[in-house]
Amino acid sequence: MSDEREDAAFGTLRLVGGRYSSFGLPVGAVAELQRYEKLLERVANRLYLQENPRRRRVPRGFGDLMDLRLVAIGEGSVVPVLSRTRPVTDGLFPSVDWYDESRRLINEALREISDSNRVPSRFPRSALGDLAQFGRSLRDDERIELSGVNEPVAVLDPGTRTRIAALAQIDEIEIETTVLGQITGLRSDPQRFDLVLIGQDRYKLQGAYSDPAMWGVLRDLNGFAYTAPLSSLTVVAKQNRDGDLIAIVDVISIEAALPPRWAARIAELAQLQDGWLPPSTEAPTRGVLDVTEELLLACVDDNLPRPSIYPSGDGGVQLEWRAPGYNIEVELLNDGRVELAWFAEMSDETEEVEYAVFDAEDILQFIKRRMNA
Amino acid sequence: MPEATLKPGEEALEHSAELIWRNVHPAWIDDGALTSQVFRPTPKDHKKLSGARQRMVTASEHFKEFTKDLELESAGVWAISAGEALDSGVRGVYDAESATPPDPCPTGHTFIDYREVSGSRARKIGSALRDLAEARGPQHTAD
Repeated sequence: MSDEREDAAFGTLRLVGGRYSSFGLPVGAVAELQRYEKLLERVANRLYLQENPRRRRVPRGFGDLMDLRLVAIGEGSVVPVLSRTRPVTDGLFPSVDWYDESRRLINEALREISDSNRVPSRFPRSALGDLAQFGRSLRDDERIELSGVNEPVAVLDPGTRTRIAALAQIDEIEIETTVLGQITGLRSDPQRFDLVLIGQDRYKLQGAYSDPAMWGVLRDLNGFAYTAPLSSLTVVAKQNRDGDLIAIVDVISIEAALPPRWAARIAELAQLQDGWLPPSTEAPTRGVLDVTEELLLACVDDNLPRPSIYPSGDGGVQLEWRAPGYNIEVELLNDGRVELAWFAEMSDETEEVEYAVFDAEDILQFIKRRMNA
Repeated sequence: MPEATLKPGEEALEHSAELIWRNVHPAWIDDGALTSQVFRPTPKDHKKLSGARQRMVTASEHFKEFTKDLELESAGVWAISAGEALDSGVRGVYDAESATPPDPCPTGHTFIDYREVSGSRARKIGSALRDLAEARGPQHTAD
């Protein structure tokens, strides 16, 4: 091959929605471009070998034809402008641009999967796994749009990924997501941890972490059973075809979900035993503490002040907000009921609501409405 | 307002500055603030919230009896006056010398009577009494 190189735009790739609504490429999206490059290479390799059945490997230098580079961020959603710096050939790979063929075939596959739930017959089956990994970081409100000059747009979103996994008969796909839960076990060798997810079922996930530096943070948030503080983890996780998380592959970041004073108070209430208020008052159950944390998280997200947090003499948790002129009380009971009360200090005005089941949004709306009244 | 009938030997406290003590469980204090539940009965109270009257026992004696003799947890003793109870819609009833005193019966046992108070009003009254007790400050605290 000659030493000369030429630059050429390499299709169009747009990141749309969610985090990509603001200008600039989130650093985390660079990994997505890496997965795209890997997919391109995989498909190009298989296409070459399909067309050259007597060859067992691609020729030396085949990868040099790729050299994909991010040269700019275009306008409109987030448009990483990809350019391909490729050597000018002297005829060794004369007529077929395998990487452009790869790009077109990937786009065609995405379009056909979206339209007809089918994978084009030309698409190498061995590359379906890589296709399934592409878009791993996409959130529910995000998508990737791919196209080229005079080409229809192909779209990849979380729904497409689920279809790809089903078509490829892949039982699990990897996703990047944020989970809330408690770390109840931690090991340094192998680098593993146990995470109990918040929620009614409280099911446990096995997790792994690749960065040894993550050990210190995990250790700080580790606790005995339900006394562990609630944590928010951004992870790479395996998800089955039903959309359930089945394992955590790696931890990207982790932090305490609640501010320290909020989390510390919940930990205190978690220590209470039945009979804490004689003779027979129930301690708050783990389920009630979970929904309390869920509600407190919602309050944090809405910038509400910290309530006073107490165990309820009726078995459960009571939250109190006191302000000049009024009080708000939220009682979360062990039997699942929720009692909300607002009362004015200087008049007989009151409002009381009772729910048979917990709904954080309903409770939050009551609190905000009464705080803003 | 109709009042529940008193049993023989029970005495309704008159409107006065005499204090009614309440021991407060440590879990019912968060960042120094009392919950309104301190002055609101739970189901086990059967609408009679236990305390003790100042005329028969001091705050520290009441605390000691509660924690040492009855072996119950307390962060300290807070108080409302008999007059404040009446003004808020409840009353103090001294029953230590009644025909059927409670068991156990700490010295000067007096209950805050919520028997004629509906559930929603009980919350508001409890909150108001809590505010008064907080304003008065703790009358005895654990060491």
